[in-house]
Amino acid sequence: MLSKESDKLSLFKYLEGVFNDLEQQKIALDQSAIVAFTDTKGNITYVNDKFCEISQYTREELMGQNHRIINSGYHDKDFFTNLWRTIAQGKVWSGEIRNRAKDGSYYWVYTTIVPYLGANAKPYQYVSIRFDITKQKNQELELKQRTKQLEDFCFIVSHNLRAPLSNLLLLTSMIEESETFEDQRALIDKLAKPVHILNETFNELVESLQIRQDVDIKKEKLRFDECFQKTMESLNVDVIYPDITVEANFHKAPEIHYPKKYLMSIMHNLLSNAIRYRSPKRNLKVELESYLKNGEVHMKVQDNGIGIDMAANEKKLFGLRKTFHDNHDAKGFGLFITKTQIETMGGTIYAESELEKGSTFFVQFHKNEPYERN
Amino acid sequence: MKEIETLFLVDDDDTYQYIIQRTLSSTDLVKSIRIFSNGREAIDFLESSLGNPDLIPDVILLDLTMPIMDGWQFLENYILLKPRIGKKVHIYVVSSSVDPSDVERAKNISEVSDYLVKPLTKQKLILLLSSLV
Repeated sequence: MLSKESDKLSLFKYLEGVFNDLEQQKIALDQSAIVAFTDTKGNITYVNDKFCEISQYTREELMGQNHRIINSGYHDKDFFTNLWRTIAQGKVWSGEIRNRAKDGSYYWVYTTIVPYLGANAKPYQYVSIRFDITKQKNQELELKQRTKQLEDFCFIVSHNLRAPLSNLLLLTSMIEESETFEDQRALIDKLAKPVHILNETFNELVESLQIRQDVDIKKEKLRFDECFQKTMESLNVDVIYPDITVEANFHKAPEIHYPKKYLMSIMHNLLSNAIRYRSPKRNLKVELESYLKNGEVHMKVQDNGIGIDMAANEKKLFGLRKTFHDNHDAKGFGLFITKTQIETMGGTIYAESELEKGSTFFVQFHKNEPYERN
Repeated sequence: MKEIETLFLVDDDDTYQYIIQRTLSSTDLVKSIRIFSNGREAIDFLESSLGNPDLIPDVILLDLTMPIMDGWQFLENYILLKPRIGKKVHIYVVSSSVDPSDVERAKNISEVSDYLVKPLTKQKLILLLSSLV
């Protein structure tokens, strides 16, 4: 068969072409994808440069290690059981995985794992081919969060406008049906309150929409202590509430790049709420503190006031103004605008509270960087 | 039941209280109406009336968002009281909320006869009450 030299030569040429093609394919793959080989136990036998780059480990650190080294703990046990069952049966698995790099930051990869099958049709090694989808994944999560915010907003709008509006509808039809002037007069008097509520609610909603649209609002370098002083002056705390102790500690994070109007408003609302819901049983003590967590500026405002039953009121706490303490001149927390301002800047606010002990509000001013740090 | 003896309105909105009271007094569907501005007041009244079936209402119109004790907390407390009430009480949630999670939550409470979204018009109210008579 291969008796002639020319046959051997053409076979050699053919094989050379095949090897060359394979080599080119490997280069193409290494250029585009994150590639690793493991044995059947998941121990790494090969990684390409892209794998090292995204995981931040050197090749030496990775070789021989189990693949679990980049496990982020995000997926549950069933997720990996299913993955291993699939590939152990010689089938291809693909899906989205969140991994953890050496510095603790997370990255998302779209992963395809292909088993290499031996003569006995059993896998003897696996190749995983991945693409970095961290950016898309973060956008997806952000979109989900935005959608949730929008849904919440729709329910708040419909709920808060519906109550006064339905009163107006009912009163109007009663006026139409009423037969005496006195009746009409009495009903017309009742219109003022729902109209007023409707107007206030509407204004607050419009304000929140304006905040949401104004994402390009000017940010500047602000000193917490200066904003705090101004807030204390505008609330006239020292004069009106001499029994109140307000302690501020901004040493850990003295400055922030933020819209001045918002920081002032956030401080003002949190402080005035602490004052409004102070306990009659003890002198109010409020502690403000700014600090860094995961590299981001946070602030907490802690009081020893009457506290909020969080189980019952968590949803309402950041809703439109509505009283939920037995305190009829209070206009509710009014933290809807505060929350809107913070969320528009990418931050979050939440509260912890215990009845009769006090409340603590936590503000994160900016969102975490796309590669969230641990 | 020829007519409804007692109806409770549990709602913190005083304009709405006025509307319901006026609407009901223009019909002969309900003999007496009691108004509570939050769940706590209504539960306290029910608790103190346990030995007195005449004071227990036939119908409760219940708002969800109220200060001090909201409609959900009222229902939780009512369920605890229920074995000692010994009378069929029709509870209707009447709320401004169209949030599907609120509707679903109310429908899953067997003590709640129905969930009605405000405005509860005179026609709807009459229809509802006459179906019970």
